[in-house]
Amino acid sequence: MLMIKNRFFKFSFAIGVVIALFFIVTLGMAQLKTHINTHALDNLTAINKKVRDALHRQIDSNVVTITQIIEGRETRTLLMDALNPAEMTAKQRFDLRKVLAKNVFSQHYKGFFLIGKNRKILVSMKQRDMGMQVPELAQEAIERLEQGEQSALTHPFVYVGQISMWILKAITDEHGKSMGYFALELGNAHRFSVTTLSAGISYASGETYLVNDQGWMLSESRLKAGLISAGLLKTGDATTLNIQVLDPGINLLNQPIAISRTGQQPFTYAVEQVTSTHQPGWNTDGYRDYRGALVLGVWQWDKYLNAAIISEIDQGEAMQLYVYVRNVLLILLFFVLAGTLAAMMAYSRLRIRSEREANRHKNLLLESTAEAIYGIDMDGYCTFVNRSFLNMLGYEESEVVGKHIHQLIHYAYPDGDDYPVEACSIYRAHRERTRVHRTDESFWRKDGTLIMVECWSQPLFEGDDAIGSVVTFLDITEQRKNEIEREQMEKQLQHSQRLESLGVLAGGIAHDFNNLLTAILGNASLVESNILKDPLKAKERAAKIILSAEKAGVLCKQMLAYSGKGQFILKPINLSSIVEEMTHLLEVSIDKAVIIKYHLTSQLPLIMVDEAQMQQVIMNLVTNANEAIDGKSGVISLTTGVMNAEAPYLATCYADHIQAGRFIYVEVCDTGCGMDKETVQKIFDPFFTTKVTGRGLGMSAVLGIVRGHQGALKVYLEPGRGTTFKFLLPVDESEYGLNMPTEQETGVEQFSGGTVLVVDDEETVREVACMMLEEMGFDTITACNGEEGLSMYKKHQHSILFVLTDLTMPRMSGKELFTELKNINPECRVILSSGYNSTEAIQQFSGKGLAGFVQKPFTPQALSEEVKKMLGEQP
Amino acid sequence: MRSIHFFWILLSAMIFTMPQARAETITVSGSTTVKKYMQLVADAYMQTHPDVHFSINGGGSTSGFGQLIDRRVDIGMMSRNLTVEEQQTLGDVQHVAVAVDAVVPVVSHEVQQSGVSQITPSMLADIYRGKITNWKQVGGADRQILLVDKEMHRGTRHVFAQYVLGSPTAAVSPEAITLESNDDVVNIVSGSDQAIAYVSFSYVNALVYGLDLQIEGKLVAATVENIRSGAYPISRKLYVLLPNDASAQVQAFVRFILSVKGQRLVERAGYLPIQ
Repeated sequence: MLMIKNRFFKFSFAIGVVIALFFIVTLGMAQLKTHINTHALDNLTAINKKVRDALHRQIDSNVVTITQIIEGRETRTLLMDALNPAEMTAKQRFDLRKVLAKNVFSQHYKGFFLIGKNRKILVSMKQRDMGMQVPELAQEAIERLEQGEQSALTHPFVYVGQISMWILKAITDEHGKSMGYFALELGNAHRFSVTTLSAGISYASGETYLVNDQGWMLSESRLKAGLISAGLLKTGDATTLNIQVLDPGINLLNQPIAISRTGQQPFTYAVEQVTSTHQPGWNTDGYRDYRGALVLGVWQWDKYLNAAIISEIDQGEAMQLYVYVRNVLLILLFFVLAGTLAAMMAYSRLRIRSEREANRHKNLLLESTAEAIYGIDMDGYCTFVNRSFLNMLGYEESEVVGKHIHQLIHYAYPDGDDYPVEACSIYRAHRERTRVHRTDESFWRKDGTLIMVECWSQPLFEGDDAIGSVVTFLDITEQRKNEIEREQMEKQLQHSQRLESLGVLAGGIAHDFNNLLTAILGNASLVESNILKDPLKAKERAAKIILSAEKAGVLCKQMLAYSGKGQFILKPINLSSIVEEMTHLLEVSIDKAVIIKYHLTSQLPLIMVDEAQMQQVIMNLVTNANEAIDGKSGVISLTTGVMNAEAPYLATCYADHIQAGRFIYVEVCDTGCGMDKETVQKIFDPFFTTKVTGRGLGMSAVLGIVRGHQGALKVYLEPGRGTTFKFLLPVDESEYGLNMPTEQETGVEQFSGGTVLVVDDEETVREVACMMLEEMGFDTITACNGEEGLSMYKKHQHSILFVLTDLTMPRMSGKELFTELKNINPECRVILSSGYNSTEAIQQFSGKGLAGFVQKPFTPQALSEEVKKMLGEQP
Repeated sequence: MRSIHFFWILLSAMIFTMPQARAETITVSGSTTVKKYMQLVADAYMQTHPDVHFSINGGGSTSGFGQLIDRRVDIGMMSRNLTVEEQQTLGDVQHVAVAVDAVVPVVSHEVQQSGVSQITPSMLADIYRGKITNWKQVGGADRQILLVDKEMHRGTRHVFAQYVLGSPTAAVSPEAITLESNDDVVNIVSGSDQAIAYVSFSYVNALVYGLDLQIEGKLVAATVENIRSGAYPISRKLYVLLPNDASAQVQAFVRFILSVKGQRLVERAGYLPIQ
């Protein structure tokens, strides 16, 4: 769910960025367009103004010239004379012409006209002009002069087939009275076009031109080619007075069709504006010019010229930069978009692919497991199953996914009773978001059969939220069946074994008793027959009967011992003492070449045992050991001690269910021939024997007796090297108080607790010391050598009150340990114990702060004395 | 966000590297005779090179030479050969012939209408020397001759005076009106009804009448054939002065002048192509 949210978020973010980008770019472009427009506008305005100023200057220079001519010394007289009503001679006229021509033509004018007050031409370059009425526009100009203007410029007009422009000035007498007029015909160099086609040009398509009130061009167009191709102009013709600046409605440059210029078209926007308002203006949105092309324009009406000055530039050219930038940006944007899209698609495809891969992998794993796996959502509905599930329970995927699992496969107990979902352990674990492992559940297959399963359920988390559980199970029906079968078989085997051994036992007993009875019966009959004849013989025989009977009694006792049901007379006994007392007896019953070695712990706790039975056990074990050695030379070792036995150890012993704890042990070790595993199984069976002689009851008796004392028996095998039998008898802690027979009545001190570290390489010694210390009220921890002791100390430093350590130990002697402990903690209290006498031992530690010393073997009193001394009489 | 930065950088880069609409201006000055053609060819050149602008001025062949030598203009226009001194000061400049021209004596239409349509060189000389002052003296109406001369340093005068008066710097009648350019000359001749002048062959238009030369009894009109064949004696080449270190654009322009297209324009201008 989160993944989808993420993806959506990222997608919308990307879209947002693109939109923002587009928006920014559009904004930027709009800015650019405005900027360009403004730039074009500024340019056009400047040009427009420049042209106007240039034109004014042009006119002014013309005025200057005409003034010069009129008032020039040389010319003025001539002109004044010419204005005289009296006729001029041809010569006079010629001279006038010559003089004026010098001025006029050299300054690039095309001619002059001397005009009388009657508005008729008095003199010009041509004879034929004389007496002619001046052209209409010149008349208007004269009107203006008479109204007080200093000079008057006509608009271009056609004169004798040519386009002409006149500038006129009045010739006044010394009183300022006008006597006539002088006109100069402007040559090309003085006409508007000269200026408009130079100063009025900008860029490739920018031009300035003049129009009159009627929209007729008063100057030459720079863009004649367009007009010619549009059919509006003939090649070689001038545009002045030839072109009316109208809006053709379409772009003639694109579709040149001959349009009749009947004046039906409206003025161009610029002309319309300027002729109607006589106000300066501009347009940067674009309007059609006389070619029909879209232009930007600036215009003004010049009163002086009585004409409009219009400056235009093709919008296309002005916008060139803008269009270029826009196109490039659009292309870029497109690529960015495309790139982003491609990247996104690739990414999502990658994601999908990797997800699919992961899914595939996951599915592969799921499908390949032998275990059945299914997932459930928070409400217990199935979210997925694997193939093993379907195979095990015989469903199709569609029948399972989406269904409530418990209702489907776990709805009843094996006996058919309803199994409510709330009681289901899987369900409970699922609700509580814990794991569970059950081996006692059963699932129902589709066909209604039951399978026993071992199942595990694990909650599924996404982040901190539980979203369901995953349940795995195995069909253990076969397993169970096998187990049951095996159990049954074992029982049967045991049963048959028991029957067999019972048989053997019964047979043995019968056999032995039979023999004895035979002896008894035989002897009894001899007595009967000899009692009167030979009483002495009869007495012998009778004695033999008694003997046999006694033997039978012994046999019975052994039987009883084996059965463990004999009567025990329990007394508190120190086993080591028993062994010691039997020494002689044992020596006698073994072969000469066999030696017995004794490793007896004298201070064994007393235990409640039957003395005779203990003796029997020991005897049997030694005898057995002796027989194992089988006449060769060998060693039998007898060891007693105290040990702590844990459950795992006890599990390896022959024992009934007994608790772990403290045990006295007696160990009988031989260097005989040893046994193999099969023999071991059988040695405790009655009447089993590998010996030639013997009944085979000894070991079974031993086991029986040990068991009867809630003890345990362990056998260590080393085939070819020897055998060890070790039997354990439990120590009842509560009886400890009875156990030390040699202790003094002063008893031991009770201390108020603390932990003591006991370090000794001999287990028995450790155990005994621990027991003593515990009796004193301490807790103990042990170590079997100096190294271990050091590490134990480091671990429990804070709780250790003092250390009791042996002197001679492997891996780190007591002395070394002492040094190390003092290094760690100079305040550390160490009591040393050693077999050596005190002075010798302590000598090594003089001045080093040894807290105390006890000589081994030590009594609890001795130890407690030493402790008391060390702690400074602190109980 | 990085892409937006990129965009702005790109935009500014583009704006700054955009080809600026700054045009190169080629300045030309000198003979007005050549100027007529130059204007045409410049216009034609601008069609294909909109980023090039021209500034074409007159001033005469001598002025054109001087300006070019001083490198105040890119191209000089001359309608005559170099003088000895000019050849010495030419330096690293080429004197390129671009067209062939003739100088034609012209009169106002009224003069021709009154009967003067041809002239002998000697008559021409007499008129210019001031010996003949009335049209009736050469078969025309009783009108005084309005004599028009060109400035001394003009190439057109150079050529005309050479042939008619025997020396390029020969003096003419003080009565003559001295004008500078062919345009002005055309203006006066067409504006007057009694003028005589001489102009470049290309300036002869409907406004003026070109006199045929009567040489040894034969009438030699100023036609293309006669000019080419040399039958028409008053002819000259038109030149441009091109410095060797001129910019590539200028060189390209001169190449254009000499190209087929450029030479076609020579004809359009009224001259003869240089072949």
